[in-house]
Amino acid sequence: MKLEIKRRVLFLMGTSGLITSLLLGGMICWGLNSAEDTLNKQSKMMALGLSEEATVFAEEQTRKLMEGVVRIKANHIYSLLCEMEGDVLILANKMTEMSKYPVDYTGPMPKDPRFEPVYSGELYYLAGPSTQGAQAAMGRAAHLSESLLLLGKNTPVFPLLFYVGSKEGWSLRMDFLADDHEQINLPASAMLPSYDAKERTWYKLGEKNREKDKPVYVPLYTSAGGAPLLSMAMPYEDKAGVAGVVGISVSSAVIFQMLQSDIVDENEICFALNPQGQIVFSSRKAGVLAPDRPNFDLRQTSDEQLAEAARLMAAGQNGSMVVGVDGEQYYLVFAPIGDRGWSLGELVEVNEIREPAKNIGVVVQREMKAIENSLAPRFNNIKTIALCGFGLFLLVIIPVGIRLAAHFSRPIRTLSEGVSRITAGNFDEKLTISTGDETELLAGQFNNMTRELKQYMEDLTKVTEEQAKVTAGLDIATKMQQGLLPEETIEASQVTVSGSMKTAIEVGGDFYDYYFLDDRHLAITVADVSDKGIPSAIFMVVAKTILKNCLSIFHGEGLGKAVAIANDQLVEVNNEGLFVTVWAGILDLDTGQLTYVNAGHNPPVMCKNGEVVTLPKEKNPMLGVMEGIPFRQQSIIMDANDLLFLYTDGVTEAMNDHKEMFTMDRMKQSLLSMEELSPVQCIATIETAVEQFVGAAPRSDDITMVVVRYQGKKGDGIDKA
Amino acid sequence: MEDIKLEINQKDNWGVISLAGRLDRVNADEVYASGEKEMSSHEKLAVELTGLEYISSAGIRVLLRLAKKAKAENKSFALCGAAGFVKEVLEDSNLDMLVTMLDSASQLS
Repeated sequence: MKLEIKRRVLFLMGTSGLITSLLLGGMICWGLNSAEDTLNKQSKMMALGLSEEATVFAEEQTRKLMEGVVRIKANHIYSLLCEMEGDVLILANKMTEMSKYPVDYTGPMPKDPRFEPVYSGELYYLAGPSTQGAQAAMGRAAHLSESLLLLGKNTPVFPLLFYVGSKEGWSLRMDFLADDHEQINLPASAMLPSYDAKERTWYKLGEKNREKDKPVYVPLYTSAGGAPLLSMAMPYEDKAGVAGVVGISVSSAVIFQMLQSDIVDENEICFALNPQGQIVFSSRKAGVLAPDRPNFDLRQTSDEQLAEAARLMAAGQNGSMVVGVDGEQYYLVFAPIGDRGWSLGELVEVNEIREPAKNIGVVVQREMKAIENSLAPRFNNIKTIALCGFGLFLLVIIPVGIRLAAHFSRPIRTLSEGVSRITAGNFDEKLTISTGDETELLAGQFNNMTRELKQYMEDLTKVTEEQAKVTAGLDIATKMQQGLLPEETIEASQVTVSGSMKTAIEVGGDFYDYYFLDDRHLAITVADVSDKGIPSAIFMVVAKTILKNCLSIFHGEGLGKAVAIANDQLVEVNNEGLFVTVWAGILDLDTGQLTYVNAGHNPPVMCKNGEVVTLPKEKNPMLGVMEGIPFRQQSIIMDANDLLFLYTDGVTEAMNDHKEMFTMDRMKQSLLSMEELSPVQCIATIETAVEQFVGAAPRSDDITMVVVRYQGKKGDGIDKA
Repeated sequence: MEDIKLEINQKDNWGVISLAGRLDRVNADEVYASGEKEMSSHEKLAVELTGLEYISSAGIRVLLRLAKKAKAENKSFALCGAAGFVKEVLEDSNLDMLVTMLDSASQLS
């Protein structure tokens, strides 16, 4: 059997319980894990999102702030430039007035650097190609000296250059250097007649300026002195129209210095761009934003973002964008400086803006981690509880499962055991199961079946036995065999004899016989024909007849002789290879002498004086095998009340369930207490003993017994009676 | 009923049938057939009874029939190695008067 029902139920319950708990546990664990996961992801997302949001916000805020700052700075610069513009305007008005309404000048003449040294704050002139006549006009212009000194004092930046160029070619100049006593160092070319004011860049631009109240901003150019200058210029007039140009120049560094002292931090990077894309000043001394490069146009720079920004700046736009400067990322905020086409740009390192924003992300992440950490033990608690619950569930379900399984399987087991007993042949077995379910129904049906089966078996057995006996003719043989045996016991005055043969199912080969040969001689035979069945039965009949004949006829010649003759006759008729063991005896009632021949038979026993002795046995072959063999006879004296017990091997070899034999010893033991019993009682006692010993085991052989009780010689018998 | 165990060997020119277990009516025919078969191929037949635990009269009859057959065909027949109960039964029936009986198969010649 593969699986018992109990184990199957147990297995089923265990499996389903396990699966259920696994599913539940799995779901709980999965839920917890996914909650944990979600929390984890969420916190990361939040951190990232917040970080990004913060970055954007910070950038936006920074941009707005910077744009404001840059606008203020631009305005500040614009106001400086306006001051310079104002100076130029004053200068131009002064020159126009002097040119239109000349007044003689009596003060000191401007110095001529060709002949004397010129110092800071002193008016000097460069004649250029102009003639003497033209110099008169220049002389009148020396009135300008006072105004210039005044302007110079008001604008405390150095170097600061004021200049006037006339259409005649001469120029008037006043340079302010940091040190009042510093000598002006002019290039030699400026002192040549070829130095024509009209040829100067600032003159050409200023002359073209048609605006009445605003000077023009001169793009960066390299002055005669070599240093790149920022200049603004505008024309002045006489009665005939434009008479010349006035202008102011400063170095880019000067403007930056002015800014630095007021509004620019040392760490900040800022620069100004003019409409030509030139960097007019810058906090950077080197790199792409280095100032003082007349031939450089920032709009053409290699960094596209920076170039784009430069174009926007040159076009006078407000704005901000990320640009690359000398390989680093900067945030550029720019705003126009007034309406003169200049633009101020300020740079902040991108990281500087983003760092704080990133910090926000880090802080958020840290906070979320803290939340997570505070939640983690709770998750673990829940998991532990779930696990404990799972364990408890298993602990409960296993014993419950075992009990339930036992409960379920008990009736079935009862049924199975009952069925086993029935199968073993016990048809009286009744199954009593009261579970009130299908099992009980099954048991009931089984009981019905058993009852019917029993009935059927009984009927069948009867019918079969009858039929078999009739068909085989066995019953006739058995009846015939039984009929051949002496029917009654002998109860004479000197002897009592009784015999019994219980046949096995099949017709057997045992027989016994006792008869008087004459008044004083009693013949007794017990024989066992080999094998069973019809041939044996026939041989038994033949043997019995031959023996009786021979004993009757030839006993006078001696029992041995009579048996030998019987043997020869039996061999003659024995075609089946059968044989018969025979014990034949003749009791002389008068003398008590028992003469006997044992032809291969079990030796009889005699109860004599409370002892059971085995009769001595001479060696003789069994009958029916070999012709012409002599048989030796023996004799023993029977005393009064001696009991002779004859039997076949059916008694000593009667077998019980354990294949144990009754044996001669047991037989002798049973015979010990029989002194007072009659032969019939003796036989009954031994039969009972054998039956008790054999029990339910089937009888395999005929059980044949003959008991002879000798009452004694004639005189003895009378005495006793 | 337990089965009988038959083992067929050859010793010198003897065909030897070794029996073990129970020899009774149930297997008498089987043993007889086996003995007949051995007798057809050997001049001498021995039945070795050392392992035999029980013999019924039907068993004795088989042995006698084999002995008779051997005698009729002028062949040698012997029983050997009977012991215990079997020996008792054979002695009781004085079979040794009719058949050659040896203590062991080693005495075969």
